[in-house]
Amino acid sequence: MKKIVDWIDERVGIREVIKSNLTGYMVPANLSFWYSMGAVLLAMLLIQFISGILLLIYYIPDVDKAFDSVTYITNEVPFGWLMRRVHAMAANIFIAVLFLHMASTLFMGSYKKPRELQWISGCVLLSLGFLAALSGYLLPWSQLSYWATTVATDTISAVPYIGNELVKWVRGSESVAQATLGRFFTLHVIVVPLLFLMLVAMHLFFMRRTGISNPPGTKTGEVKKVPFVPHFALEDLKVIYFFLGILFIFVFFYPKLYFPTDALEPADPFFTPPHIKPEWYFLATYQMLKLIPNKFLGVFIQILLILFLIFLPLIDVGSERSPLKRPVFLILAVLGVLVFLALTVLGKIL
Amino acid sequence: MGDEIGRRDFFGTLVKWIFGLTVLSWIPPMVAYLLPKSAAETEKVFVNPSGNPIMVSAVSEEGSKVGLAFGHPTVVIDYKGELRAFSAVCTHLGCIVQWNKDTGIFLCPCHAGKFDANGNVISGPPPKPLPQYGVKVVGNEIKLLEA
Amino acid sequence: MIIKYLLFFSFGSLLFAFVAQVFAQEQESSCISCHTEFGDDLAKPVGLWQESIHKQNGISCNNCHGGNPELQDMEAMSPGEGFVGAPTEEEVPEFCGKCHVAVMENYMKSPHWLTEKKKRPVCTTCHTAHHQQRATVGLISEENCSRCHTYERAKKIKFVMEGTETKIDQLNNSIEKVKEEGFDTQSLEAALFANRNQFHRLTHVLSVDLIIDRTGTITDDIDKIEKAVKDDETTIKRRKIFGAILIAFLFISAFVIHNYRKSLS
Repeated sequence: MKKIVDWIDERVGIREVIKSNLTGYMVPANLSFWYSMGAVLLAMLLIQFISGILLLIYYIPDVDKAFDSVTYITNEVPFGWLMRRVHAMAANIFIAVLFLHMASTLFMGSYKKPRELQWISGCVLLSLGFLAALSGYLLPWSQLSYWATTVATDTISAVPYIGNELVKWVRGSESVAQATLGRFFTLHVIVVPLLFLMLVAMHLFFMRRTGISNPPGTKTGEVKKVPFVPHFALEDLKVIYFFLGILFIFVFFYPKLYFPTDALEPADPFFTPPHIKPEWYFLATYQMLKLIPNKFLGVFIQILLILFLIFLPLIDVGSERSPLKRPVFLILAVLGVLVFLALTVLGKIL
Repeated sequence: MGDEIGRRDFFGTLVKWIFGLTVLSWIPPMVAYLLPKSAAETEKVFVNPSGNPIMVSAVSEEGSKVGLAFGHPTVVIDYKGELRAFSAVCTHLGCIVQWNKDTGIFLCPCHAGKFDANGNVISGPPPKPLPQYGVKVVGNEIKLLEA
Repeated sequence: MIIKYLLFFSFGSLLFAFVAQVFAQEQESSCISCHTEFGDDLAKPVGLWQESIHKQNGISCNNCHGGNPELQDMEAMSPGEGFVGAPTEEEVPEFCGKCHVAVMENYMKSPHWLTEKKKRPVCTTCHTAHHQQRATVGLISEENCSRCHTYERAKKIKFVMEGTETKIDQLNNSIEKVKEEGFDTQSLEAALFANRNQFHRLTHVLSVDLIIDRTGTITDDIDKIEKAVKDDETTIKRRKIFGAILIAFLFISAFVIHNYRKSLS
């Protein structure tokens, strides 16, 4: 092994790269487990790539064959059922952990200078995550897929004047049809993954260049540092294994949570099943749209909120990072999280 | 001190095993996932409920025979000398269709669904045509091929 | 208030456009609109039909009575449009037998049709004319059958059928559970449904011996279906055990890595 590494090192100086990025890369010793959320996201992303590629081998993106091809995967292909469940569940965990990652960054003020670029690229990654989830949802062409996509793309009609045209443009036809499947498939399988890789690379580049933030409350000068490999790498791995455990609990024991009965029927454009709702991460925005009387206003307010979130580091420019010393921010943030949770729950039960 | 080093080595070895297992455990499922289906599974002998092959002569004599293949009822008809095979399960609600050689039509006795000699729906509630299978005669046995 | 209604309308409008397509015929069906309007006896069948299994499966007035529900005047009921009106009691079996072919054939072999008594029970006697529900063995009851004769013979038939009927119902539930786990149960459901149909059709001949005779073959088929379902259930259990081991491995690994890290500092 050493001989091989020596051979490579003579040519491209690999040992120095390893030293500066892994064994010699120093991080604060008091990093909490919240700092591992990013690593969990990377692991989930890797799982999605692998399971997605495997599913892609047998999936057929044609409205007459899509549902049957998925049935073939889950019933005939060895471990096909496992790949499909993992792919569906890991998507949910990815978004849940994304929310956690965002929340911890928010509360620890890690979006502030000099880390604004990380935050903004992170917001783009969040949108890409939602886009992947939305486009992937349609691919099995089940009742759930078809009608959830119909409802979700309908919301675009709230844009004044060009709303209905926009909806047709997004769908590629009047209603959700083969044209929609074609473009959603392309988005899901190549466009979003490529953008994802690019943005993740940027996000990590920014993180390495600015250095990882100290947890708020750390007194400057007293920061003890440890090498990333092995100390924090092991911490990351520990948290990854923990979340993998959670993933597989859902995969093996609670498939009905993410495959309700509507997901088991092929799409029927002439029959809307009752109680069609978007997936949990879209419930808050769905519920808000239902609550705000004017459709356009509903969409407009949500866009404002999103823009506020994206440009937060340019709005909140104070250098204080501890949440306890920023009462205005703390109240807003806690309220924001509570409202999001309340809307999600309302969206589920109403 | 010795204790600490001992603990470190113990856990260290365990961790190496964990990583090894994690990486290796992906391989068998992925290999199995990619295996092609054996040819034997795509060809099925047309049998009666007891498992005995239904002979070509029996089909020609009676004009049609309902039997089993691919795990569900299938019907083989003698249509103007040519053997044709279809799923015998009506695409409406699953009753077994019956071939009438005089009218040249499959009739489903449950709700009067009618299919023609190509499996296409002529009238009645069935939403889709009868799936058709390829027919291969081997000796006196009939082998059905998945479409 | 108005704003709230505006909201619901705008949000659901596109959705309803699709649904409306299907029900457009029904909503504009002159049969339904006229008969409801006239009320009293003429409206009764509509109310009954709304609760029937025919409605659930998209079978409407014109599917049995003919006529054209798209015409908004009395032309809808003209013979030229295929309208055949209400059948007399004699005509009922052939009327229903237009679709329910096999049942009619079986029924016409039975004492209920062949009896020389003046009044015979026809389809609508037990299944009603417009309030048909999913057929179960419960239709054979003291209340239903003793209207014309003693319940004795009907009881025998019910007794002979009940065991199989229960089995079929239980099997239906098991298939439902297996389906929820993601298995493709279409062929199983179809096979079970075909058997259930054959079984129910059988009753109409009203011969205890025939039922006992055929129950054998039907039970064999059902047993095969049951075996397939049990195989699936075993697979599900096996997967769960495999899953439990994997999950334990993952959590234990997290624990081990935690301790390893501690041992390094």
